[in-house]
Amino acid sequence: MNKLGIRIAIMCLLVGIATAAFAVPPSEVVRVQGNQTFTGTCCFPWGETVTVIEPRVVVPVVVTWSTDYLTTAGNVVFEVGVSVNGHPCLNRGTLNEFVSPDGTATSSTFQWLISPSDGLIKGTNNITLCGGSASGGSITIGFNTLAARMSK
Amino acid sequence: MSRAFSLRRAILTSLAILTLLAAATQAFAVPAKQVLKVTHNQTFVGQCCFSWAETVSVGEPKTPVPVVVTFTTDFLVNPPALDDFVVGLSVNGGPCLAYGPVTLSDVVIVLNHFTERSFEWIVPPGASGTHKGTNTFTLCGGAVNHPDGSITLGFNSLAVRISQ
Repeated sequence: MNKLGIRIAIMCLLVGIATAAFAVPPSEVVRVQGNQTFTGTCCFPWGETVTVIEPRVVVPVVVTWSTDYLTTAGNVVFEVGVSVNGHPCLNRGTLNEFVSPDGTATSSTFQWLISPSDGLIKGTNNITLCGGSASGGSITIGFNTLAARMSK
Repeated sequence: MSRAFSLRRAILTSLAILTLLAAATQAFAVPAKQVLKVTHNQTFVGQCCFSWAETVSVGEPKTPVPVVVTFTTDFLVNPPALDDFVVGLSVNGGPCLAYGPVTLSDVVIVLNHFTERSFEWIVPPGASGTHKGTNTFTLCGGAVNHPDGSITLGFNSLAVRISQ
């Protein structure tokens, strides 16, 4: 029975480790509480990176970016996406012109699915927000969050 | 070692494994308190910030980890003020704070037509008031400029997670 007790203890330990592994690691989330203004043609890094640790068999990653923003006037359209491990900016979505008479922002949320073929590798992967203008002008990003989670 | 004893040990070990797996699986399911779905309209009047009466809760482990809160809603800004609104979170009854984007803007509103927004907020451990054990996250907000600013939230959902 002692051996059985040891086995159960080991299994409990493994379940505990598994539970800890499911918690959100701090490196998988970024929160920015200030304004950043970007000018320039797509695509360049927007200075926000999250990191995920991929297992031996690489799995897809879901990345969510949620932001306040406003743009300059003049049919301004910005593109935003993610760069995986320094690869080109992928999965680009659109932030349309938003100019408010009183200077307040609007909000938008994107969710991107990053596939292993997008450049994910076993081990540490850096996923960086990127984008730029498709039509000139500038964009100011307000409070925003960037979060990644691996599919299980 | 007798065959009967080996069989008994194998059965006990298997039962232990199955029990632990069942417990672990249940632990990874989304508890009901972590999600809230509202399927009716609610109108809030007033300047920021006050409670919007939607709360979810989640248990933090001994060493708190970041919490991710997602809010998705239909909304309509009402006349005559047509003000901009902000929305945030009160953690464990604390002040209404921004944990990411906050803006529910009136500029794109067509009168009497709902539009929708989604927010994902990150509540870091410690400084924001989260602690080991149960933590509550209550939606809060209000008009930016006018005390009589009015917003109607339509169908919406609020969800919190610390696990994938």
